[in-house]
Amino acid sequence: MKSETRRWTILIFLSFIILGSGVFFILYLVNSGNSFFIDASQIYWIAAAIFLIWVSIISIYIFSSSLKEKIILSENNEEMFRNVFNFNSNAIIITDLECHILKWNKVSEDLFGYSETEVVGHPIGEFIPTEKECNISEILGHIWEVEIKNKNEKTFVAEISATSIRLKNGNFTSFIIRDISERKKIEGSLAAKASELDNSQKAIINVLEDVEKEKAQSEALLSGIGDAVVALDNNFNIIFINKVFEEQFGWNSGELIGNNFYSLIKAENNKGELLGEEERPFYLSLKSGNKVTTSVSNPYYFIKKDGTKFPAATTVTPVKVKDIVIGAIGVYRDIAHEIEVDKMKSEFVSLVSHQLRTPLSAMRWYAEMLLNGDAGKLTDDQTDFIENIYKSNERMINLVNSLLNISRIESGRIIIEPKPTDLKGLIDEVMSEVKVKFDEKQQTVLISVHPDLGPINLDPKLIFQVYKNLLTNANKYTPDHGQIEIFVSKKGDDVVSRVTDNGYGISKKDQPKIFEKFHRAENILKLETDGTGLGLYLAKAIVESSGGQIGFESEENKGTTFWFSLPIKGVAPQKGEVSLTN
Amino acid sequence: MTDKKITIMVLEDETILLHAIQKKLEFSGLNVIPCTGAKEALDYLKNSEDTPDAIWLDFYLKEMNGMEFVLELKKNENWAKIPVVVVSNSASDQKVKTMLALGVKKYLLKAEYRLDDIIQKIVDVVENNCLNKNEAGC
Repeated sequence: MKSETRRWTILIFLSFIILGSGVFFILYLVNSGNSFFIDASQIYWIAAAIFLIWVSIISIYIFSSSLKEKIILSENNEEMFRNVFNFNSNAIIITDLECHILKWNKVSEDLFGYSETEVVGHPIGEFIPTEKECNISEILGHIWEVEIKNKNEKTFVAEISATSIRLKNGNFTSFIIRDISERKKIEGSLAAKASELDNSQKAIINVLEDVEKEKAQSEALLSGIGDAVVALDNNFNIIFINKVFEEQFGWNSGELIGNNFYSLIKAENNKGELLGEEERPFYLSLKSGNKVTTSVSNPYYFIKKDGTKFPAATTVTPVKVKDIVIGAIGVYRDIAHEIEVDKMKSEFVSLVSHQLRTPLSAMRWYAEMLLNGDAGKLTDDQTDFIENIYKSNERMINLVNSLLNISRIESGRIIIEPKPTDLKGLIDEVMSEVKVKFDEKQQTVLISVHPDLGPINLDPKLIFQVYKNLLTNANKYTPDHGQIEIFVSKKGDDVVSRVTDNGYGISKKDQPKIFEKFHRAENILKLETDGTGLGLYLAKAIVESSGGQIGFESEENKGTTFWFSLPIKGVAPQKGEVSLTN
Repeated sequence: MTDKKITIMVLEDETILLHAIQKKLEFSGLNVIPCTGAKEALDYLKNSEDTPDAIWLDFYLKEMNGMEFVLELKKNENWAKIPVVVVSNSASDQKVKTMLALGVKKYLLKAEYRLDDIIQKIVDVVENNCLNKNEAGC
């Protein structure tokens, strides 16, 4: 703008001077009189000439100044163009219509590694790998990506676009090349992230579907459980019940959910006394953080909404989140039937006790008397026959005793009364009973008990049975002149007793079943038909009720070792109703 | 010791067993007072001047059980002195403890003993009793 005003200022100034000079010249001529004798028409010619001179000078000025401007402009343009061309962030290559390089900007030099002089005249295909022929019409308007290796062996990904340039001196093609390696990398990682997200999303959807499915399954399971289930929070408020609970206790869910469990569900012991909250399983479980169960032998009787009662076996398990008890779940099983069955079982047991044993005792005593000669001297055959009767009778007595013991152990009614017991003394007691059997077969028995072993809290009557069973087995299943060893030692927190023999052993086939009821191994069945197959079952039951373990190692025809462990700290007492018989 | 035979009163409700016991006792040279029930036994005691040297008592009897019988015995000072040996088919710890606490000398499980062993044990009890008491007629 400033140049414009300058121009106008100069123009006005020039005009002023020229026109002013002209006017003064004319005035001078007119005023100078006759020396030049100028008439009116000549004044007009002079004015016209002055006017023409003014116009020419002004035109020349205008032309030259605009020419100058044009040159400056053109120079500016060229500089601008050159700057744009060179310092663009893209590589620009100008080619002719046959793709020979004419111009190659600075960025191209940096990108491709070649200077302009090295490339001018070469086909662009030398530097840009392209399947396309230099078919301008195909190239134009398209953008394509290609990997280029430059002069310095560096590869980069380029985005190439081509446009045509029409100039006065011909048509050219301009290629603009962008290094999009960074962009490609970012695109790549974005794509990877997108696919990751997609996978995560798919995974989440899967999990949600699974959770939905599980939820549906759990609901189906819960409603399918035949027992009553209730869940309480740690304030004893009911948060969940299943249908069976409603049916069994006689309340509907509306009356239960959200209310205090103990305000609605009362229970009694089997004496009919109402139980206080502190005796109830949920209370005990939530307080201790442990599972609490009641059993068939000690049932709680729950009072339904209508006031009637039913006995239930209860299991309450606490629910913990990160070790904090947040509630508990209780399962109630109606055991009225089980109690009935149990009653029948105990009646059966006492029936067997009394009714079976009486004739067994009678047979035994009469056989005894006969063998003693109390009814007269017997012939050899008579003695033989009666001895057989006596032996059979013995077997039956043993069987009945074993069955009774098993029945008692299985019903959990065995009394376990631990007392501090010296194991060596106990073993000696057993030996005094069974020694005669070992003597009959001329077998040697070695007993070795760890000297530092003090008395262990256990029920001597029960462990007596265990030793007796293991020893009679060792005696029975070892041939004459065999050797039996009893070894009692400490092992960690347990005291382990081992009874080893060098007898018939147990075959691999029989080993898995050795503790089963009535199981008798094949190899000894042929040799010794006497045996109930209950001794080991009983021993196992006793040992396990006492908190111990039992096992064996054996090789057929080499020998067997039976071992059992009991905790050194002692056996827990068990309140029961019956003891085992010998 | 005298020549007088030892007299054992046997209370056993199963006749077949009572018979065997009786026979064996007799074979062993002892006198037997067989009773199938508590009432029978108590009647005998009431009506007799002599008291048996020992009582072989089965726990489960018809009219009353062994424990009740022993309590009855204790009511009479003479009868209370008679040593009682319980020979029974069943023996829960509870029962055994109670009976022994009541003064029963021994509690034996029928199935565990031979007849002659039981008899020997009873004879031992009688002899111990005699030695302790140092009574006339022992």
